[in-house]
Amino acid sequence: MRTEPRPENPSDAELLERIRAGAEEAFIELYRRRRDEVFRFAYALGRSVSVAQDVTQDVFLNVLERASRYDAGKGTVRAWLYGCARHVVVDRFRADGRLVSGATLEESVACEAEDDVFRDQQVRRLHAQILQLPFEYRETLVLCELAELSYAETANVLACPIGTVRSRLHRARALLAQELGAADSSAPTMLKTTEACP
Amino acid sequence: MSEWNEDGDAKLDAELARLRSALGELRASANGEEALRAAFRARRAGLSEQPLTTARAAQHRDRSASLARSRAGSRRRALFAAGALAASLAVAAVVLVGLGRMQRDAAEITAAPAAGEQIAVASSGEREIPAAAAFQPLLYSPGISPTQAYNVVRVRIPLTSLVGYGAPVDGAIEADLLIGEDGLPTGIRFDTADAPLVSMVTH
Repeated sequence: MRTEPRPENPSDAELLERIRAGAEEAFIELYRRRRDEVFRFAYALGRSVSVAQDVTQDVFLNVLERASRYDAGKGTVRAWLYGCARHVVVDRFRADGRLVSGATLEESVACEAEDDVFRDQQVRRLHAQILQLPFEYRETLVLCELAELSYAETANVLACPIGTVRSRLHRARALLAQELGAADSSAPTMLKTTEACP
Repeated sequence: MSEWNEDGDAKLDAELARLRSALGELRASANGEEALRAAFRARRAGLSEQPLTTARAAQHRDRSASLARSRAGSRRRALFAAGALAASLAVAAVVLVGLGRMQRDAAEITAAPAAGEQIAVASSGEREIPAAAAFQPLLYSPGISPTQAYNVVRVRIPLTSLVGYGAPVDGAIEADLLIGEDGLPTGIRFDTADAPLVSMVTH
């Protein structure tokens, strides 16, 4: 019996359609294609490699359960996956109590040795500052600036109006600029103190 | 004045670009691929609940946060596990071993209770409650405690598994399994109509 030829590079939506039809390889292909993005998103929100890995796994388990719920009219599969990831992350943070009382900057720095994978000091500092943002600002900034989703896609992921995305992003950037500016202005003083030591 | 105040947006954009670039170098571990394959196959085979739960349990084994979720689903998993267990031949064998304890009482075993009926537990060696509603502890089970919560699951045991004990080949008998919070069966009782058969295979 002849089978229909598969496109060499099927779209995410086509893969999801095949997943619904029971194609295991389509599921694995979607996983291989998108797992890094989901992992990065989860890591950017929480700075824990193990949690990000768990979230990635859970997201694709959710894909198995909820593939039929995807509506192409509401957005891309990529954005839908981010939405799944966001739900998993929020559930995880709630369970850990991290949405109630976020870690202080000092606590975040203290766990860097375990989970901060960035070598660049400035990158690490920026990431630490992002983690200090209120969660709704943090997730908006991560989706728009780091995952590079459009405002419309971000609004879809967060289930809020585009105007809310814009205002949250603006506020997040202002807070970041303020914090980083303050850190910059204090850095030369520390340097001078260090230089003064023999 | 700080550089951030003069051109904060441009500097922030540059910093975010560096972070974006650094994030882009991160890769998820591919270790979970086999577990996902297994979950997919199980779901396709119509056994979605248990493998998915197992895969998640493997992922969150060390996380206390998942404990609450697993407890919430424990009742459902217990029912699922009990159903699967009762359908297997192995359970029938365990039941038969347990029947050895019941020879004296076989004729008195009666039908399962209506929904909502309080579960009565038989203590070995003495009869403090009517045998009609008594569960008999299974061999190798930790025993039945009146203070512990259980689920009662009605199961059907094919008689083909009892042929070696003299049962007719066709048909099946029903029994109530007492399932503990750990999902393991700890007790059993049979329907009144099956008392002669139970008596026969235990002699």
